[in-house]
Amino acid sequence: MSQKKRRARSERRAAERAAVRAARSGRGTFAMLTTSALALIPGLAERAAAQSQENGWSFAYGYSMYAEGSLPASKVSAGSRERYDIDTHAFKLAAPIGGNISLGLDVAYEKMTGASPWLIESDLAGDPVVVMTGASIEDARTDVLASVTFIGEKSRTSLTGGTSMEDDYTAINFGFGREKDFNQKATTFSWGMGFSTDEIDPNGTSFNPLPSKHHKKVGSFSLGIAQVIDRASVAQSSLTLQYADGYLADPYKLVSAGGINSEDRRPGTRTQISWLTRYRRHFERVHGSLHADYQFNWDTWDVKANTLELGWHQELFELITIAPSIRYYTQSEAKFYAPYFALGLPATQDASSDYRLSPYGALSFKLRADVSLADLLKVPQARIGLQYERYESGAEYAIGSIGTENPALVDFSVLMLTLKTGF
Amino acid sequence: MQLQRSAFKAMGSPCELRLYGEPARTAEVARAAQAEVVRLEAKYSRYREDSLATRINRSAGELAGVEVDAETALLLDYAATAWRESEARFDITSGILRRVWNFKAGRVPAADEVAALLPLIGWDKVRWRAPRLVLPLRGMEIDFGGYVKEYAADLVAAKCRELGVRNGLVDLGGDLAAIGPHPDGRPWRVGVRDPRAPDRALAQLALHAGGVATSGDYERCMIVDGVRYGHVLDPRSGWPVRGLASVSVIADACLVAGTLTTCAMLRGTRGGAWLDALGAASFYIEESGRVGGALVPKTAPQRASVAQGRLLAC
Repeated sequence: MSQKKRRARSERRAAERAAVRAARSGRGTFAMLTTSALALIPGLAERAAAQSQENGWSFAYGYSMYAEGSLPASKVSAGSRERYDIDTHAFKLAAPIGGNISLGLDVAYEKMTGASPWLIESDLAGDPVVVMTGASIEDARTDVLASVTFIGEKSRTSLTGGTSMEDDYTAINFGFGREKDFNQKATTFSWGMGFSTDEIDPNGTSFNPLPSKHHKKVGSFSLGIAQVIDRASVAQSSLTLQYADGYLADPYKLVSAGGINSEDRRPGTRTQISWLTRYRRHFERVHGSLHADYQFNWDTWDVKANTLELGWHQELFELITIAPSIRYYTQSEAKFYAPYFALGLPATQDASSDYRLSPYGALSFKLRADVSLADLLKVPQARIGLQYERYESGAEYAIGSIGTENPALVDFSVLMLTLKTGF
Repeated sequence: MQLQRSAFKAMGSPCELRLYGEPARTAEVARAAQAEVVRLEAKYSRYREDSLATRINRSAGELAGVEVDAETALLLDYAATAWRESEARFDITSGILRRVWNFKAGRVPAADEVAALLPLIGWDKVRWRAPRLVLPLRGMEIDFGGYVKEYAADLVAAKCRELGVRNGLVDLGGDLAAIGPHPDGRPWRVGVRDPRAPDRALAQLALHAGGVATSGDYERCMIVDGVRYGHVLDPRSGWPVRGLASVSVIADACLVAGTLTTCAMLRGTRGGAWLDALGAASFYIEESGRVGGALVPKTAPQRASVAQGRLLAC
């Protein structure tokens, strides 16, 4: 998993903690009453901090099945039309040590099978078509992330370290994060840094010329603020700067220029800025919450992207939560991107036909259902959840008009099951 | 270290302090603790002519209202938080329902008698902005009785700690606050009454720190024509709740524990599930006899010895 995904995940957790503090939901009630009692009862603050609900054991398991839609025949000139299927098992454990320290361990195991876009060439009419790799590549990836968090009365400091391993790829990463509360915990400032280094040693079986080992390093820095606006709403905003240096291309892709296929070439550095803002508002009378997220991305490859996600979380019978959501994404192309290049290019010039650098828009729908099993199993905080997501991308979803859509743009569906418990 | 026990009566209930320490010292601490309970009773009892509570209630209908002190302001803020968090179930303006519900006399009111009081009930009708409290309608009342005993237990425990006692237990009519565990680290063993045989204990809870509060439909209830009416009245309807026979909660403060037990009782049969979803350390017994909650001890019977159909004791 990328550094960006990890940062997004810890940001999401911080926002969720703030929302739980503010909105009237399970844990929120307990915290609201205790906070209100703090001024009345001497010594309660120290006792409550020591036995904080945040510092209990928790365990979660998730299983997801991700399936990309196969490409229509009109877009594929050779190779398999079927695309990737990815099955993932993820485990998450948090354990308290003493009163103030929490250890975390996240392990994910992914199995990927299927084919992926190899290069794009021009058909007789001049339209771009995809040449896919041959059927069934099977790949497995293991991701491990360990963290230690020091919990203070008004602050939290965490250190993380992890590794990601695939047959042809190894990465290690480190992170540091700090959060500090102000205004009786109504405001939280956070900042963090991350660093990762990886090496890819491509398997040379499927193409020519023979590839060699490549490395890259990525560093990131982020700043954030979370604010409880009133007892029913909370907002959060964060800015992340990321700098990558090294081999940033995809060794398994080729690009067609002047009718000749050569390797995918990208600049040796990439600076990215992303700005994420989240808003959560709880509506007591209907037992529901509105979630709204907006993200803006900019980078030195000229890719600009906007993401807007809106969701509604509805509580039913105090035990069930149903959450439908919709996400809209649009991005502009990288400056060295083209589906294919009509004329030949010098060997040193950057060029890529990767659909992930093309201009496109995407729309996805998600539906999640969560049920509390605490009463049924006599295990506190036990929950089971099921989520379905359907994602489609294409030129028709983008803002502004797109001359040529990349034929390898992907559609996918994901079904995910999660089990959680706490002690 | 010796254990000193001192018993007294206050807030309409039998109270007991168990303090570890030198006898001369603990006797002094017990006196200070008792004085604190007496102070709170004098201030917040609706039965006393000269209490702050009575002065507030006499001001009902006067738009000038009453100016209250810092302690009362915090208690009113707490009541406001509890009212919001419980979706209007925990409401300190509901005390006037005692005018029509008489549990000692075994009298069930007529529907219109209860309905007549509802317009005077509702924390949203109260105008509270520190330090001024206004009860805009004549006949409205603030009743601190629903939570001042739990608050007193916490305050007394804090006072004992402040005066140097590290181990002990405060018991104000069943609302308990731990000053600290036994000197050897053992927790205090708290019995939970069998709601249908209240002089017998059904289970035991272990209290290391914080407080325990219990609500039950067997305390001050009445059975009229075979129907049980508990004393916990839903302020939104004016009628008693059904569903849970008893619920106990352990929390960092007895005050919070008491609010959670009251709110759980007022949610009826869903009260137990609500406490579980909160992650509360609770032990509850439904009217059906089913036992639940995070504190269910391994040796407790899954169904309490409540025989359905047997005449229920009050």
